[in-house]
Amino acid sequence: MSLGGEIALALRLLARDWRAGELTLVAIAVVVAVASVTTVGFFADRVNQALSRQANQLLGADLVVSADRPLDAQFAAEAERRGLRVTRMLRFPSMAAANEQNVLAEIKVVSAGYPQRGELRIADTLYGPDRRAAAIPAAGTVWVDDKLYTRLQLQPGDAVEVGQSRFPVGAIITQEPDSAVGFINAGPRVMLNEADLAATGLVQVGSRIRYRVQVAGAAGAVDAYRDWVAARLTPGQRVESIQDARPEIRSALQRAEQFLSLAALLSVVLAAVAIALAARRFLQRHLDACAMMRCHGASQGKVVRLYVLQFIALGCLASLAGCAAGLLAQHVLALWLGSLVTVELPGAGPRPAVHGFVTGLALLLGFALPPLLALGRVSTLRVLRRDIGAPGGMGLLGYALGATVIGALVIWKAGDLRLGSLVFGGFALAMLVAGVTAWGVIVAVSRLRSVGVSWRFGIANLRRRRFASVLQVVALGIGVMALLTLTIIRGELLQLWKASLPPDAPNRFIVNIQQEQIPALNRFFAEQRITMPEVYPMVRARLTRINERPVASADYADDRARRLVDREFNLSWATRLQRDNLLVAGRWWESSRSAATSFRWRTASHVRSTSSWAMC
Amino acid sequence: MVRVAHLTKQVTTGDSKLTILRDVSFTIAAGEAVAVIGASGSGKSTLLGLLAGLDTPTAGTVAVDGEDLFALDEDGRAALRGRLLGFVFQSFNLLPAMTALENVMLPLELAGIPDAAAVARESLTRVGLAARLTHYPKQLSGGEQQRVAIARAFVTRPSLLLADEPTGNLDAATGAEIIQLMFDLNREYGATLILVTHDAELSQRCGRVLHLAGGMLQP
Repeated sequence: MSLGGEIALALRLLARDWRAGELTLVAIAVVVAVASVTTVGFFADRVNQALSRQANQLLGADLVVSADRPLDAQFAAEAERRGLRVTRMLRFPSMAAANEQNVLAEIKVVSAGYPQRGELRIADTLYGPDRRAAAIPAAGTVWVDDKLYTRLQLQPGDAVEVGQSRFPVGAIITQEPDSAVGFINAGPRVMLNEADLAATGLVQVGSRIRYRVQVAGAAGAVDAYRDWVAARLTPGQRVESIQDARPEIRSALQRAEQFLSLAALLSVVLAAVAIALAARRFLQRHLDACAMMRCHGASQGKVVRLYVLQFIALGCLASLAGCAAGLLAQHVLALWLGSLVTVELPGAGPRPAVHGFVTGLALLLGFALPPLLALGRVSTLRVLRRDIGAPGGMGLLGYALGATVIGALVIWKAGDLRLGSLVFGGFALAMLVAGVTAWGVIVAVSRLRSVGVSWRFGIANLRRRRFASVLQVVALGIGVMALLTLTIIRGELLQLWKASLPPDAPNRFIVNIQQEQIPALNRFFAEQRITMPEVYPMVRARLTRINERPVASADYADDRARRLVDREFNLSWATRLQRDNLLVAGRWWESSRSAATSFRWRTASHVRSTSSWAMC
Repeated sequence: MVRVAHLTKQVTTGDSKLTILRDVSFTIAAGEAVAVIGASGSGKSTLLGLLAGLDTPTAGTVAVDGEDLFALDEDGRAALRGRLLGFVFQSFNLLPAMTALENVMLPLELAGIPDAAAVARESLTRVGLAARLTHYPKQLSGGEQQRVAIARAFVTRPSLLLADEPTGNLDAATGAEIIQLMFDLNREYGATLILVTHDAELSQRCGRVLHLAGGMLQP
């Protein structure tokens, strides 16, 4: 019989076994496993694609030089000298007011030519048709987004107060590149022409302003300019290009994908248990069929090929169904996370489907292949003597193949050998404990005597099929463990997240309060019958010396320590320790001593210091 | 058609060896119908298993259609069975996941014969089950199941039909019908029949009777 003939016969056998319900459990297990893996895969793929496609937009340019202080004019001048287009931008949080309402907004001050990449779209009316903005807000006007427009209850023709000036609202922003946090919803937006910045009076000592020079042009020129800039960066300045756009989002996504993938893998482990048990049952129920096929002239190889082809076909169909289910389920996930994800997600690519398909087939064959191979060795004499059972021989070796497949899948999905090995090792240890315990219980129970006929039969059966009983206990134990792990992890994550916030943690922060605004703020709280919260002074400073030794980021190998040295800190001062602050080393400031400072423990540990620091 | 020479089968149980067949020799000509009778444990089924190449002997040879069964390997014997042999079993041995038609189709499908469904349908019609094609074994009576098994046994036009207690699980009236059908088909297709039974009356319908006792052929 040709291979084509064998495939056709295998498909007919598949249809017959399917109709008889012999394969339902196996198929469901594969569909669930593939659906779990592809749901996570499809969603992560769509978000990754969105990130890549919008990398330009997220940056608003090809390259951005940013700093906490005004940038030296040489950066813009050099870019222009190299034929690159340059725009300037400032960004800071401040209050916007109108109609006796105050809202903390993100103020974005832009210069002509903004944005260089991505699209700025505006509308004349709230939720009205929008268009691409031809320019930036005209001097003397601001553009706001719909969040600010609705929260300030603005009407056409209204003006918004920013700092010491009032600006009529010229348009409503419907889409902008380089939004404050980019991918995740940000605060309400006010966009201002740079010509109006001075009039607001908001640029003062201690203002939390981020200065940016945005550059765009030919790729080669941008790369060369990047090198030029990198050599001239001073602490507090950084350069970003589309390659490193939104690293925090990418790493958050990677971590989320890693966790969800591992969670999905727990369903794969469950499916593996189901497949292993179902394949054993399939073997037991097909001993007669195999013996009859051998009796009718089929060789051992042909019997094995027919069943393996049948399972490959089943695996392909179930994996395709799983992929389809995953595709549907990720739509639900996207809807569920719709309030968080503000970008439009592109269609999913084929990669997660391929991964799901490979997972489904590997899982099925990893656990079903050993019993299927055993079917080829069924004694033909079984047609005359039904008491001849299943052929043995594969034993633990058969399950080793499945365990190898699961191990490889866990490490592959974890994307990290150590994490994958830990997860797999945990399961392996649990299996060992379950196996040894089950064996001990069976041995102990086997010694029980004279406890009634049904017990005696049951115990005798357990003793006779000791190995199979242990395997079933281990399989079920792993299934229960996977379920419990998911439940516990979910609960623990929520618990940890809640525990990380004290119950009286503030819900709102007001920043950039100027000295002369404090009395008005006091009055506002009094009117609202709310106790005035404490106002903390704040000034920006940079770490310059530790123990009189100058500090440079290059002295540190740790990325976080380098960033801490490069960036500006928000410094505050007080005469008494806050009740929610904990001193972990040193002593609290005393009036007799001077110039003492305290640091967050993690900050100090990153830069490895316990003694005197100098800030300027 | 079948030549058996000095066939011996021993099995080891614990420390002792049990001889089930001892130096059995006989020849059966093509087209002959031979009954093998004997009490339970006399070695009838073991002999049948060896004649079909389902089991291997401790000593001796079996030649079917001139081919030494045990000179062939496992797959060679399977191929010979597919080519020359048909089986009817006491417990029918129908596959529960398949309909009557599919059970009869299976030997044809394994042999790669085209249009297996039409041939199987014809065979089932011949045994009077044209209306039961899509029924599963559990939906058929014992007699109907054995008819399906007979249709399956003859569908490949075997030269040698081996029947192991074909009426053992049937009532007397149904058993008689089944035996009649089997003999009719055997005549029709000109096959050699070896019928294992403990029913002396049934054995008388065969042209020759081999009597086994204690694993030895009685004169």
